[in-house]
Amino acid sequence: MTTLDMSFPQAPFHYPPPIETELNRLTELFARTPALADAYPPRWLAIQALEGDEALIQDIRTLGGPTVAAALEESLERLRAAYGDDLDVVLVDQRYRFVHAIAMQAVRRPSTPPMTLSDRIDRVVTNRWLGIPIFLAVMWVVFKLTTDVASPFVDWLDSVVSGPVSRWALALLALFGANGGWIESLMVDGVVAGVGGVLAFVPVLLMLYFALALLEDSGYMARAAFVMDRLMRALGLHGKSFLPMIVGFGCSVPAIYATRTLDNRRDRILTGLLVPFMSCSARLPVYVLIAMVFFPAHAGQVIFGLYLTGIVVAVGMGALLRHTLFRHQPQAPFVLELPPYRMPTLRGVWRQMWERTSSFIRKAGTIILATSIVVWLLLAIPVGEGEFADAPVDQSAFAAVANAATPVFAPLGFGQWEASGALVTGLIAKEVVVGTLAQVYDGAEEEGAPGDELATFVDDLSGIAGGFVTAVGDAVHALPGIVGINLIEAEEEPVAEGLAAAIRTGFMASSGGHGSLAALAFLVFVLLYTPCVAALAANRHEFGTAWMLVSLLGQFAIAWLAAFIVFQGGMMMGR
Amino acid sequence: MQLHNQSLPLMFVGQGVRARLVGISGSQRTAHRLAELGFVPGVEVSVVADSGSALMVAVGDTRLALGYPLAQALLVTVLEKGAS
Repeated sequence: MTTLDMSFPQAPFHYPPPIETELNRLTELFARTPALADAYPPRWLAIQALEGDEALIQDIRTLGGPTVAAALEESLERLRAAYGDDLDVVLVDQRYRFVHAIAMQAVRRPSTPPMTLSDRIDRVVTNRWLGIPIFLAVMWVVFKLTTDVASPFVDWLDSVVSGPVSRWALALLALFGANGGWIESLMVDGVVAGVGGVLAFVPVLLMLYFALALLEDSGYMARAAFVMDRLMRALGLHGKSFLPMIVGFGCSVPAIYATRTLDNRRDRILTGLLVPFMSCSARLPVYVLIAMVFFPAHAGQVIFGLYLTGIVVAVGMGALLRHTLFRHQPQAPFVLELPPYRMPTLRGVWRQMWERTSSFIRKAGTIILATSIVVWLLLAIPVGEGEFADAPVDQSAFAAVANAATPVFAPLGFGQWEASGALVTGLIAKEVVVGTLAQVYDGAEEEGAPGDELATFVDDLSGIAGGFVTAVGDAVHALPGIVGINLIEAEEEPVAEGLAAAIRTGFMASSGGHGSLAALAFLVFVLLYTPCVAALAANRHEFGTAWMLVSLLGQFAIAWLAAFIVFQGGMMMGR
Repeated sequence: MQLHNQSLPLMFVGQGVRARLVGISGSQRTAHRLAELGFVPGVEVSVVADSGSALMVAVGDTRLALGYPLAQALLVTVLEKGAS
C-alpha cells in the first residue's frame, strides 16, 4: 500500500435540523464550561449526551453543575417530543447514511451482493448439525499438538535444566568459592528447580498459543464461539465465554486474562470463576502419577473421568452462581462480529505466540521463583534434629506446617502430612504436587544429579543441540498420531517401585485400609481445589481481591465437599 | 420484486432470504446497540446460519452473530424468497 496524503477535504456532515439546533446549543454551552471543555471535545460530548451515554451524562451533571444539567434535560425533552425514543437510532442512522452516500459515489457494486467464499465456508462450518462435530475435530488436533507434539520439547528442556544448566550454576558458584553448603542447595533445589519447572511448560504453551493464533487469525475462533453458544448457555454464559474456557484446559492464567474480550463485568467474573474447573495441563502429571500407582489398568479412564468431572462441576457451579450471586445481573446480549476467513500470516501468529508466552514466563515465573524459595527454606529449616539445609524431610519446618493441615484432610482419607504438604505446595503450581510427593515419600530424595563433573561446556552445548534435534524428530513422529483415535495415552513411564510402594502404604495407612478410595478422593481434590497462586494473582488483577477470595475459599470448599462425598460415600457403599 | 408488506422478526425469516430492516423493537439500549452495529432501518439483511441459539446475520459486508433475543428485536420485511 502506498502512503496516501491523509488531508481529505472536510466533508460537511450534519444531523437533521432540529437535532443540529440542539447540538449547537449544547456545544456552545459545554465550550463555555471549562470543567467540561477541558475534559472532552464539546461537540462530541453533545452528540454522546443526546445518544444517551449514561456515564457521560453523569459526568456532565457532576462537572457542569445544575445549569448545564438543566439545559441538557431541556434539549432532550424537545427532541423526544419530535423523535420519541428513537433519538439515538436517528443519530446513528444519519452517520450510516452519510457513509453510504460517500461510498455510493466511489464504489460500484451489484445491487445484490453475491455470496462470498467466506459465506460458503460458513454454510458448512457453522451448520447446525455439522458445526459441533467439526469443532470437536479441530479441538482434538489442538490437544494433540499441545500434548504429543510438545512433549518431546518438554522432556528436552527438562533435561537441559536438570543437567547442563544445574552444572553451570554449580560451576559458577564454584568460581566464586560459594559451592557446597546451603547456597548450592538454594540454587539447585530452589531456584533452578523452580524456574526450570516453569520453563519446562513453555513448549506446551507455545504450541497452545500457536494453535489458538491460527484459529483466531483465520477467523475460525469467532465461528467456534458462534457454534458453541448453545452449549455455553448451560453455564449461564454465551458463546463469547467459550474461548477463555478452551484456553483454560491449557492454563488458567491466560484464560482469566482472555475474559477481557467479554462485554460486561458479570460475564467476565462468572467466566473467570468457572475457568479453573477446566482441568489445566499442570494437573495432568498429578493424575498420571496417582492413577498409575493405584489404577494401573484403568489410568486412562480415571483421567478422562476427572476432565469430565471438572466440566460437570463447572456446569453445576454456573447454574448455582447464576441463581444466587448473579441473580440480579442480566447477561449481556450475545453480539459478535465474525471477520471474513483469512490466511493467517506468519508474523501475526508469531507475535501472538511470543506476547502470550513471554507474559506467562514473566508473571508465573516471578511468583514461582519466590514461592519455590519459600518452600526450599521450609524444607531446609530443621524443627527437630538436623542442621540448616541438611535436615531430614520429616524433621523440617515443612513437615511441621504440613502436619498442622492434616486434620482438615483426615475425613477425606488422605490425612498424612506428606499428602497435605504436597497439596499445600500445589498451591504454587499444581504440578509441584508430584515433585513434593516424590521428595517426601522417597525419603532420601534423589540428588539433583550434578552428575559427572567431567562434562565440558562444549559437551553440554552439543548435548543440548543433539537433544533438540531428537525432540524435533520425536515431534514430527507424533504428527501423524494426531489423527489417531487412541484417547488418552498416559505416558507409560513406569513409576519407580519404591515410590509407588511408599505412596500406596501412605494412603493405606491414612485411610484405614481404603487406599484406592483415598487416592480417588485425592485426585478429585487436586482437580477442584484452590487454583495456583499464578491463577489467583491473575484473578485478583482482573476482578479484585474480593472475587479472588471467593475463588480461593469457594473452590477449597467445593473440593473438600466433593472429596468427602467420594471417600465417605465410597466407604458407605463398600460396607 | 415481490414485496411482503407485513413485518416479522428476523428470527422467523429463513436462511438465505433477503430482507429489509424496518424497525427495532425492545429496549432503547438494545435498539441503540444494534443501530451502532449497522442495523439501521432500510438496510438489507439476510441470515447466513443458525446455530440453534444465535443467528449469523449478513448486514452489508459485515457478518454478525446475534443471540436469539436480539434477532427477535429486528423487524424486517421479506424482499425475495429462497435466494441462493
